Amino acid sequence: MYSADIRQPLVTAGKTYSDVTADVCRPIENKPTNSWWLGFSIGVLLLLLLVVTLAWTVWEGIGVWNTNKSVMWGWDITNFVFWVGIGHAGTLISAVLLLFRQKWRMSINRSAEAMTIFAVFCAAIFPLFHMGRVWLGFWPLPLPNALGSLWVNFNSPLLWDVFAISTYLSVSLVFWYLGLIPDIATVRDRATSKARKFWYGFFAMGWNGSAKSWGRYEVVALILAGISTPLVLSVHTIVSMDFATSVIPGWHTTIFPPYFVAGAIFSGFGMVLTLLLIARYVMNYQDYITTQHLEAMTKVILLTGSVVGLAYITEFVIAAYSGYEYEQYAFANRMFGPYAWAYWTMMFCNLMAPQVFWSKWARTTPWFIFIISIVVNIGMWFERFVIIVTSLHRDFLPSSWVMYHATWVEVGIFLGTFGLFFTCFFLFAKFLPVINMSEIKTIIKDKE
Amino acid sequence: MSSNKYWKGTEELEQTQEFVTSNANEFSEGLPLDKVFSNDDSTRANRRDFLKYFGFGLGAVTLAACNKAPIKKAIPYTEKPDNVTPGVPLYYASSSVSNSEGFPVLVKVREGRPIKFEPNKEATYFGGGLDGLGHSALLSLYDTNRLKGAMVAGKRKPQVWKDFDKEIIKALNKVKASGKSVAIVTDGSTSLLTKQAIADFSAKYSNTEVVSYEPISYSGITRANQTSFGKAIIPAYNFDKAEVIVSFGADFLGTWISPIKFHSDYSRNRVPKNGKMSKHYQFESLMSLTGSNADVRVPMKMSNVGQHLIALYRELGGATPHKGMEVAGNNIKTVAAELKAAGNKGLVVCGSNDEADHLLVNAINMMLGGYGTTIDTTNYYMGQSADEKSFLSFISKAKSGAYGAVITLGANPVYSHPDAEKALGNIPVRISTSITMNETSNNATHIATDLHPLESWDIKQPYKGRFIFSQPTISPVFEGRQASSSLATWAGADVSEKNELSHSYNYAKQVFTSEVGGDFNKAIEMGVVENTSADSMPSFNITGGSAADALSTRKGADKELVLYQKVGVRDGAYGNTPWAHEMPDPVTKVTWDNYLTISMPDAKADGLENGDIVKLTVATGSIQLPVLVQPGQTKSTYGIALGYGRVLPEDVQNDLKDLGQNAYPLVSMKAGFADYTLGNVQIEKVVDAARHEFGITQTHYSIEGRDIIREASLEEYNDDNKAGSYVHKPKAISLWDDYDYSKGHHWAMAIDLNSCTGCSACIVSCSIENNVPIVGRDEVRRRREMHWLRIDRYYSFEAPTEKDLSLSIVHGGDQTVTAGEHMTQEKVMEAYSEASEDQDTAYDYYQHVKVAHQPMMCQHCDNAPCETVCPVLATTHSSEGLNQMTYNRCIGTKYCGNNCPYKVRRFNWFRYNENEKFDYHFSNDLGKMVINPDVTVRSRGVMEKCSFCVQRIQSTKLTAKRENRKMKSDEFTTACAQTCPSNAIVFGDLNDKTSEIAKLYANDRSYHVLEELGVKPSVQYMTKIRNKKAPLTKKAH
Amino acid sequence: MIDKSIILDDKKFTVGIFDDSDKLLHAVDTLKKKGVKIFDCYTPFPVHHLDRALGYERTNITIGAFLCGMLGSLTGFTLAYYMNVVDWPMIIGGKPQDITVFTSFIPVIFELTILFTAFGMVILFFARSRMIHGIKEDLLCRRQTDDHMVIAIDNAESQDLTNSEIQSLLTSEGAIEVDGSRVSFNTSLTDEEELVQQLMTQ
Repeated sequence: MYSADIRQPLVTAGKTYSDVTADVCRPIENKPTNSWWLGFSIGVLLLLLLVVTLAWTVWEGIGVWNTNKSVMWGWDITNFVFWVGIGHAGTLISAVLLLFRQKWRMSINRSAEAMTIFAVFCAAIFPLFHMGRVWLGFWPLPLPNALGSLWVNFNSPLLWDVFAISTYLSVSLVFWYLGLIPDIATVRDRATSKARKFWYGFFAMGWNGSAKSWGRYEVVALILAGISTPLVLSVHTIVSMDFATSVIPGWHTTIFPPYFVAGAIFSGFGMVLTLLLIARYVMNYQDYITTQHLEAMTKVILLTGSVVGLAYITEFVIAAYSGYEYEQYAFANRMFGPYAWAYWTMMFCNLMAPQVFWSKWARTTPWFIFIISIVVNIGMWFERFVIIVTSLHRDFLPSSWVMYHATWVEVGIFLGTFGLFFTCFFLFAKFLPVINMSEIKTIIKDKE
Repeated sequence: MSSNKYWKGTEELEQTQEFVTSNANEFSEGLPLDKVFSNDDSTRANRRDFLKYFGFGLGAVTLAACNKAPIKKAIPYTEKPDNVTPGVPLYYASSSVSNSEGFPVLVKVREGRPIKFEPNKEATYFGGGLDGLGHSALLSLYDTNRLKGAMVAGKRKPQVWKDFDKEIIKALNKVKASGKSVAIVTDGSTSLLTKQAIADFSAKYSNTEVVSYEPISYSGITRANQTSFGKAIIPAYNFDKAEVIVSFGADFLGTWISPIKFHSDYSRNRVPKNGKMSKHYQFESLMSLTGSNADVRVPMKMSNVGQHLIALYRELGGATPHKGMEVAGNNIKTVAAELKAAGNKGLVVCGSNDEADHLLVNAINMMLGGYGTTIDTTNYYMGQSADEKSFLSFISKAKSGAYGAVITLGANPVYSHPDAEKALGNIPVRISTSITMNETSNNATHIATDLHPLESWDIKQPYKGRFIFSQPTISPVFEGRQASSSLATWAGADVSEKNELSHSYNYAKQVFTSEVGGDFNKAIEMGVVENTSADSMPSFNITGGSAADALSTRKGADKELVLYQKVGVRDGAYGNTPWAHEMPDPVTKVTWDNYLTISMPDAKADGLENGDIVKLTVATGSIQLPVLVQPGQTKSTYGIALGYGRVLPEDVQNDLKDLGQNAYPLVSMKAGFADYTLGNVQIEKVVDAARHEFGITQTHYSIEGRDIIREASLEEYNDDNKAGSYVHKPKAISLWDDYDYSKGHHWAMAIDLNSCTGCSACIVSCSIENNVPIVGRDEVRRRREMHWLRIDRYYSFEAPTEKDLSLSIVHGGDQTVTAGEHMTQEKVMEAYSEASEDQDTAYDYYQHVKVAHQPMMCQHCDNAPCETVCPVLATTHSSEGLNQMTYNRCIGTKYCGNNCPYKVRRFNWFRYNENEKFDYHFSNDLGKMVINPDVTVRSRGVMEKCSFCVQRIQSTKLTAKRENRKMKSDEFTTACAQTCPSNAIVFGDLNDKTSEIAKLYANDRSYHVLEELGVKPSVQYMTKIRNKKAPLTKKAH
Repeated sequence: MIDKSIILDDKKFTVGIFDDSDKLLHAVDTLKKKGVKIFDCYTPFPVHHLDRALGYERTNITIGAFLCGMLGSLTGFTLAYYMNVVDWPMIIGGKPQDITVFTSFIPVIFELTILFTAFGMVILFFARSRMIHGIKEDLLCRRQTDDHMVIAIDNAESQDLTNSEIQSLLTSEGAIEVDGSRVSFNTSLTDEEELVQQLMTQ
């Protein structure tokens, strides 16, 4: 009934409802493929690296990193912002695109949300372990003190972070789980083993697709989407305030919130693309994740990439125009100072590289998109590195100017978080439907 | 239940009013604490009170025991000594440990542990200060390597003194019988006890010869004075009386003769008072601390000093046939003119160790008439007067086997004299009195282990007629015996304690009555006694002309090496002093290292960079050291610091183990005196050696034209007292009303950049007062030094002008002078030079450098950026304006450190105490005794920083409260301000309008660093005024 | 696991099973026109306009959500105000210690608002839909979460049409399977082979 032959179908090869079910449930019900095992074991190895490096840090003290009296934040917070940024695409795709009734989101939102959650896990590691006394990591929570008044500081952006990140994580989880319930029910009803029957039954919460429930379900999903959108924006806004509210030249910048949010979406979509393109091949989902999806996402990348680039130029112009020598120096130093290589890497990856998506070919050629998506991820990591390190290593008093280079421990922790991320993702791909069946089924007859 | 009512006493039965009320309370009678706390002795506690106190005390103790105490074992006094109250420090007058000639100090003692030196303000003549090494030397008392008792070569265990003495006496008698003589080698100590003991000893052993030996020789001065005035002395220099000071290579603020006293004298005239301040010219080859403070600093080759002196002598109108090279041309002319004008207010000093130089210096000072005012030859200086001539003869006699025994008192010749080891080896009985194993005691046959100066009685006389007294401030830690007593024993005296008074006490008393006279106890209490006599112009019995003869032929070597002392290490007598080594050198800012300083032109010519290992060869030998390029150093001169390369006991297992190379063997004795300037230097780069990485606390020397240190010339200052502060200041606008600090106290600090010489004594004093950990070279390399107080040192150059540079920076470097990748003035300047046609002179301006020192500690901003960002409120502001750290609340996010514009916050990256990786003194039981119990030893993972010595504020408040009066803000001061020999730091209460700080805040020179940030610092700096004509101030931009 | 089904109990249903959402909708419409009271429909995915066709009115969970949100804001503010102003006022970077410091509270207030809304709403949803971990599902057709859609009519309800009429109507509407009295079941594994066989047929 909703047919209009202008557009490509969102799901190709004329799949029926049961085809969808079968296709999506296949990885769950069958033995994992070799490629899955390969990816998973790499993930686990890196995860071990994470465990080792973190243990070493806690045992010896943060001194095993190379942060120093002037550059007190290095790779740790860079990675934190990096991962939080990546964690933005998922909720954004599901929420914002849901609000905009973008049906093409349906085949990717599930994995995007999963990615969000795992990325936030990774992000959470850094603010925790960059503490000198990680075993007191719960102190920023507003807990009463047995020996009388002792509370937290509501002026501190770090405290805002605590609230923002934890809220974001839990709301994303809820949103994700809500979306999973009908599909879990489907898997439950196909279950052939007691264990699976039990567990999927347990998490399906007795869902039986009654029209009443569907009615409420859709409303709830819509509202969750509605509140998640400002949430997503607020999270990176608050993260950006860690820097924007400080006095350090290069940090103390009012355009940070929008600039960071754009960057987050940018990096998030980069990572989504990377993962989907992998999944697409590993699990043969070409019919569900069509070039149309890819193209839509590359357009978003092109847009946000340009926004970010604009931000870079803006903040530089403002600095130059400010007439404030410290600010001017901070930015001149970024461009020509000892960390210039990082700055120009960032400029290339985030501003120049995405511009190729003006061409249709680039937008529709998976292997090429894959490369660019990697480039984008690299670029966004460097953006955070540039902001944090180059601002700190030469601030007001030249007497305290220093250089900073990471140790193997810091690098190890960063690589390790990828281990955590991929381990989680591969487990997800094995045990949960990576494509939202119930939603896909609503559109398999549609053209859009 | 039974309805019977039991009552205790009729009161209850009758329910009298008293009973009902009193029965309501826990104790029917209140604790009579008021009576107890009033000093009324008549109150006598009855049995029940006793029980109450007992119960109360028990409760209190139990409660107190609830929180973990830092000290594991605590043994209570079984019998409380008089006037020792736990928690209350006692101060004893004594003499500084590091100055063998003696320097007055107070020793702060807590529960019987000396924990800090503080200046003795009674001793006004010496100025109320102390130096870094003086503070650091305290650790020698708590050195785990101290010898535990009398030692005999080949035996590890300490000996019983009785047998040991028997053995020694037997040996000495044998020597006497053999007709050989006994040599006593003393250090520069001016101890009267030792003098007396030696006298007694020589009375017994007529064959005794006394040789005094000092690693650093001033014989040039003593000999010259012998010739000029017939007195082989080092005179007392009064820099406070000098209006024009001309120094030829004399680092009198850093290492020359008696720098601490010179500091305080010098600084008196450095702050402009009614338009005048002293003018200081420095001619020198290396960049010394003194040179860095000079108004005019002229690079000069040390070997040319004679030529300069002749030139000056002629300019002053002295008659001499010799011309003297026109080395310094106009400089000498202006100097001469200024000196003429100053007359007897002019002072010329010279750092060389050559009699001829000093003869001419004497002639010049004579001509100026400085004797009697700026130079005092009557109450002259008595320390360090050893003449190497006598030691050289001792060496030759020893080699010929003239001695049967040698006793080294404090001196350590084997370390600092190349021939000493061989010569001493030639003497069968070698007795040393060192308290730790050192180079000399290593090959001694007997060690009569001395007591540490803080365990001994002593009377010293650093200046004629000025006596300093030391008393034991701690009972001997090990089984040592004071050297004077040892000598006395061997002379046959009985040194056993008589009615609880040690031999040395009686000895001291005896010496006191004979040499000083007066009230002994008063003298001990005050620590100083002065009975000086009026100074007069001595008769000068040689003409400047003839003095110049010796110099006229001198020609400067093309490449020369200058051996100098470092402010932190001096002659190296105290090798095992981590504090001193961690203290950054005031000029190079290098910690823990010895290096070869070279000038930028030479570095460029030889293609050397910091850390390159080079082999330097001179006539006396060769040495391998890393290179350090030093701006301000004269072209083709090289500098190496003495005092490194000490041989420390095996169990020293930290950075002290390998500390540079010993440069003493390079000192030349050819000319009959110790010559620290050597010509014909060959330099070759050791190519295969790995580049050495220094632990430098400040790697960037340019101020980048920023408004951080404000300067003005005296001329400008006299026109406008606000000179230097022309920079446009934005009006501070606040979103809300600021907190009102006008009630109670408002603590603040003022630092006068004019008086501050950068000597770094404050750094060490602060570290000791606040238990700041020592982290060692490697952590400093990682830029993690923990000093709460640092001294920033900036260089600036005459050309190319800073203005061009700062502009070219902001615009990303204009094409002709591309900044290269590094975007700093340093790089831009190198680019300038690289671009220049004449490469021989391209880098010469690196010799002409202006230096500014700026102490930097927590600014205690009223609107502190660090406080806002702490998520757990571990750093907050006190109502008295202090920025406080709550260590045990800190979780170590380090956000505060990032957000501090002054970068003064320090983070505990590791656990620095109880950690063998940082085994300096925090990790062994003996070393821990020096920890200040009033200050927490920070745990790993917390942030720390300057607290304005809050512990001192609090204790002073409590004292005032106990005496129930209002505390005065000048009642106490912070550790840094207290120890500053030039009074550059003033601390106090802004709300006390009469206080000095309040006056300074009103001063026109005062400004805040980075005030445009609106953080409202509580530390204020005073514009540096240079006594110059040329305009210095940056125009507003 | 909670073993008793709470909604469908042991009711007997007349069910029509469809494999096409359009047919389903049409069937519902016709049944409604014929005045048949439909108990509920069961579909593997949200079929648009189905709830309207069944005449359900919009859920009021949203109001609950709004209230939760308000509660969140209030909590956020009280938390911050009590801790930093009332109970433990500290001098922090010279900032005021009264209500004017409110601006610093906004981020926390905002986050708590979102948090409370999201959780409150979802919990309400579960409660209204009788969903809880471990409860057993009631199915009327094994494939109603896969590709089949079920119209369920409670036989206990008094209808204008007879049961057989309804069945034939369903058939005529294109139901692939019609059953006059079906009791809800859940996919217990007693009938393992039947299950396998089921999967085979797909």
